[in-house]
Amino acid sequence: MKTIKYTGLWALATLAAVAPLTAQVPDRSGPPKLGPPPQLSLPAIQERELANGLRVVLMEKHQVPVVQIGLVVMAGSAMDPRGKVGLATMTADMMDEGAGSRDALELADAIDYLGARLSVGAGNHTSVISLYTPLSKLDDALPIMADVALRPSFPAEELERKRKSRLTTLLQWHDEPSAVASVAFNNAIYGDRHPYGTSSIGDEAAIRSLSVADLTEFHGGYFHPNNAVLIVVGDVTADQILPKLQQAFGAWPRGRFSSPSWPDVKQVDRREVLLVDKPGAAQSEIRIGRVGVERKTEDYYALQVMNTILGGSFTSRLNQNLREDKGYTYGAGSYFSFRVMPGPFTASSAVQTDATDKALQEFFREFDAILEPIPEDELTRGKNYLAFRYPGRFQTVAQIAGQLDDLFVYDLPSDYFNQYVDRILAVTQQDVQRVARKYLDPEKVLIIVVGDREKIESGIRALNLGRVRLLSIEDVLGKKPVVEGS
Amino acid sequence: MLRVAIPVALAVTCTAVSLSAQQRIEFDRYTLPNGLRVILSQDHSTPIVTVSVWYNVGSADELLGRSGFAHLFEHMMFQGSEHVQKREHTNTIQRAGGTVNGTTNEDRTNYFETLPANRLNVGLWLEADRMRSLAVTTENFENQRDVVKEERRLRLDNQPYTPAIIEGTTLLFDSTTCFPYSHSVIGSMDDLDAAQVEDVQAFFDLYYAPNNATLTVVGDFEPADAKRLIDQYYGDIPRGRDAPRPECQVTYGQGAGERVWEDKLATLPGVIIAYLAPPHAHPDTRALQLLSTILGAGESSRLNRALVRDAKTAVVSVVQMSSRRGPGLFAAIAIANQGFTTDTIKAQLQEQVAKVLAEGVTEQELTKAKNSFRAQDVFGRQTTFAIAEELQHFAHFHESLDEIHTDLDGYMQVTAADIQRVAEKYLVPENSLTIIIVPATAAGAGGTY
Repeated sequence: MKTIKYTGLWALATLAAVAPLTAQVPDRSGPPKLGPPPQLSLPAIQERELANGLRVVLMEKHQVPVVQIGLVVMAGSAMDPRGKVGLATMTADMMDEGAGSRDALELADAIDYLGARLSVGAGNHTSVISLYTPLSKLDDALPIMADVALRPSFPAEELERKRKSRLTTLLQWHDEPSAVASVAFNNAIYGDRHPYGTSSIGDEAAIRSLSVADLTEFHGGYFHPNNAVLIVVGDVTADQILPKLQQAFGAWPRGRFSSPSWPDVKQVDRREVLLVDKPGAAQSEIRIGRVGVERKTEDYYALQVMNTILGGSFTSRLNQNLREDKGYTYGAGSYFSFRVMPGPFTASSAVQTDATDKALQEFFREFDAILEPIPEDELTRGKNYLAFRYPGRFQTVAQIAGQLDDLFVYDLPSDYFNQYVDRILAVTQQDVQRVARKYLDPEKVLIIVVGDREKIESGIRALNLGRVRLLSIEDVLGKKPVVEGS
Repeated sequence: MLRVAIPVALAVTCTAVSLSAQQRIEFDRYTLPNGLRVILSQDHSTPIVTVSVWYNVGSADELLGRSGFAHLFEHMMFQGSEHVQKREHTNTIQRAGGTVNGTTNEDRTNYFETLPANRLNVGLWLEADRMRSLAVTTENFENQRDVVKEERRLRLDNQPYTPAIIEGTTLLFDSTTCFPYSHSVIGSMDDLDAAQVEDVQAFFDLYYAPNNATLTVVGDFEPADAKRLIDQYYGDIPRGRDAPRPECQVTYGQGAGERVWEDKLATLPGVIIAYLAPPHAHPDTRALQLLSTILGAGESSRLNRALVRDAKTAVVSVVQMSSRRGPGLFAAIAIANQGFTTDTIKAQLQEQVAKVLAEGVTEQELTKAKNSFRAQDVFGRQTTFAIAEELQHFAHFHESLDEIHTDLDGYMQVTAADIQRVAEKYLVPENSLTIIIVPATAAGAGGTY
């Protein structure tokens, strides 16, 4: 399928290329001239609806005979009831542990037999059931997917197995500094009362409290066709797939559900260090951050450009400084987690123990520097990196489905894909400076360090970053759970 | 800038074409006078292009006392060359709107970039400049040595179980008869410390010559264009001398071994039973790979079913098969559930393997494994990068690049009898090393750090 439209200029360049092979040797002492970026035209996003009102969003992709179908339901960890943290992810984990007439192993066997992949997962605001299948197996795989999505049986004995497995994960986290750092960071920024502040798998008490009734209630409460969308990408047309989808999902009855509400997010109002002791740690895990901004912000494009320059790419300032100049780390970076509500801005690295204080100093040097005007070449590089890589993000059906999920979850305009490149290229030096100053306040950030306290504490204190609070791993994760044998 | 303009009717027409044409990867290949092998494969579905360069050198080529050097060297390839300053390699790619990386394994080192289609020239220029002339400074070398040591800490030393799986299984190989596979790709801290900046130029001269490399270009380009550029950028890079190939001698069935591996980050004990496997190109490999899927890939695999689901003695149980140019390994792995000992899960792993030897596998299991391979073959051909790497794989590890068209058929022809035969040949105790992973804090849950 020809989806490329070349400009007239490019057509001329192609003609010139037919000149004899050895006609002229180009100047190899500098990079070759960049031609104009080629344009991408994506297949149309098609919207349909099943009889029960379930929206179907489809993009055809005919290069390879595969299909990806995702049912995205607006139900995620942010809907976990108090005291039942981890319910959304446990419900998702349990949906393929028995559904329709099949038990867990029969389901796995049936899907594996087709060479298809079926997965269920829950994020902050969504649960997604995904089927990825060769086109030739679609008819056999789709009813299995529908069973898992609509008719999970939540067997009690599988819940016990999952519960033990989660407690074991929690136990293992006590020995994984990166996990300790992430849990400590989210909790420090958002606190216990906000869903973004709690661990998605829950704490020991919550894990122990989850019952089959909780799972059934969560599934029954949110899994309705009027709270979901089907995203279809692959080697099918709407007319081919619609009758199949109607058969699999069309009889799913609509339901009522209450729209959740959440406490307001409070911005970090101080600078403070939380030092979590991990004696003998091979490296120090560093997280620095504060509350960022929601996905729908008008500042999205400028923030993407700013963060690409600060810590969002290999050539970013943080990585170049901490890795390529100083050799403190294998990598350093930063990230805005854009969500329905304001997600965190996080800068992070795992650094050599001896260089922990020096690494922190360099982080703050870069936070200060990013508030100043960005040199033109660096700005261009950042923008090009985002804009011209964009077509490459539409190669696999899974990539495309992920992009379409975002349109639905964040309610983005349907011409979002088509505007992306222009919007990025339009970002100016002033925009970058404005959003840096608006969202990054180096005086108001929380700093988490998980490392060998004996070796790093005095160096950190000498930086005078703010109050230093000492924590144990148990302060962060709770006591190590004892998991009973079976 | 982007336009959405494909009528549905047109797309339907395309479906018919795609189903017949798209399962086969078409390519051109040729060799430059200086020995550089070139593979070109057009894919006009997205306006991007991937440049992939594989050098025929990996950790298997390292010398005693220099483990980890091939990978450390890979880092040096991003530190600049005659016309490219430090940082400018990655900056230039970013300016052009591309991505770039490199990786090292036992048998090869690869470098790749994906760029907007008409910026192929940038990728070729950068790759050719560093093949022609690497710029090495002591300062950059010391810096990257530090970076690699942090990479080792991050990926191995600070991870539970990984050192046992990565480094423990190398004990299957005797360092006196097969140094190439008796050490890990990342190398030891001592050897990384011992590496000298002088080693870099010697390694470059020996291995980074056009006659030891394969350039693959996949994506939205015109072949005449690409050929002209390749000729201009690479044509006059001088051929190097032939690099020596690593020597590895192994004896299958040399006797059962067992080692205890202390893991200070592990919470639960574990067991790895690693069997010596044949080289990738060996006719037995396909049957062993299908068996590794039947035994240890996915929820419905035998190990998961028996240990995790039924007996509930393990939290995870899988098979990892590492297949290389030289001898590889087939490793059955289980991490015990709390309250269960390594004796229990070891016996269960042995029992599951013994059952294959005694009874073979069912037709149903074999068909399932074949379907999985068939699906992966299709799933794996969606990106220009994945297609480039697949072409490189066949160019390096198979008799002929043309096997890319027939390899899957080879898997489909494997019979249940073949599987039982290879199990009897390789998955026997006297061809194995058992690694008992013991949390160094002894009692697991009760331990302190």
